[in-house]
Amino acid sequence: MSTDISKWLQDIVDIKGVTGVFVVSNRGQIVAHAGVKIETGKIGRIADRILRIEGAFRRKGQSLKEIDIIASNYRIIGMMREYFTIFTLCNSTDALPLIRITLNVTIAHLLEDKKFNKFITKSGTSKTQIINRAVFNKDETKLISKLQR
Amino acid sequence: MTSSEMEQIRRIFPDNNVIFKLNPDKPASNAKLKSAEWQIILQIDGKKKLQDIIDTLTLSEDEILPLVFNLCQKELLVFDQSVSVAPPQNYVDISFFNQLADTLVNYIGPVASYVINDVLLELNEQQDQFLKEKVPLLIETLSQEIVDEAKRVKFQKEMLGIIKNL
Repeated sequence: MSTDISKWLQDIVDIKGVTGVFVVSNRGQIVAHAGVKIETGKIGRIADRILRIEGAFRRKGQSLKEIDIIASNYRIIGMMREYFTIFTLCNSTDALPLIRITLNVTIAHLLEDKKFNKFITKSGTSKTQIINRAVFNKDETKLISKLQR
Repeated sequence: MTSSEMEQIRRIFPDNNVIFKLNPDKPASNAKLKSAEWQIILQIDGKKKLQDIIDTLTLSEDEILPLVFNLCQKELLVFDQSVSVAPPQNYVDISFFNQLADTLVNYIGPVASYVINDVLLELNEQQDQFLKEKVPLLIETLSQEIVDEAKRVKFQKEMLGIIKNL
């Protein structure tokens, strides 16, 4: 992980109420993180769940770039992009607007970082490819049909 | 009491560290007061802070603040403004809004300052008493006025640099 990426992630963790931040590839691997540590398996499962939710929305022709969930005793803000997702673990969301602004800026930095882009595109599959191949179970298909177009 | 009236009172007593004194020129003994107001008067000794009075009396902050405010309006209580005024560093300097307008104008054009005022109105806030901790919310709300996503993030990036130096 480059010094710049560490610094950008640290900027997020420094915000009051944030305990950890993870950049996760579409394969559920932690590419970079700052703050509290969570085992790869756990974050992978959360990433998988979020990817399926995103997939459901995409099937309905809707885009989902941000999600706010409660899992593993944390409020988790997920910001999704084509090759990665940033998960921010919060124990308080008093500074939510500052968290969101800092996340937007961090994502912009990451997308401009050539080394990071090269790495993430090589180490992960694009979301479009994954979602196009995805097979949804009965319950998920039911939910998708309920989503408004 | 409405929330805006309460906010007005909070602007006068921003925290519970304010110390009240009885007005020597207007003794309370001649005044017609409610029993709760008398309870407050009896607590005033020129040393107790507002929080001490709240703790002593079985009244909530929401109940006690309007009563204290009324007593001040009747000039029965006086207080040292320098003690009660919230630390000025909690408010952004008014020059911040010039900086904000100068930045935003590059993204949405000459309507920038009007949009800022509209958003402040929407947030029920004013420039001269705007808390630093509310700046990110203001920036995020203003960002929604920028249609182009790349430009929106660029604006947030610029403003994040300014927020860090507030």
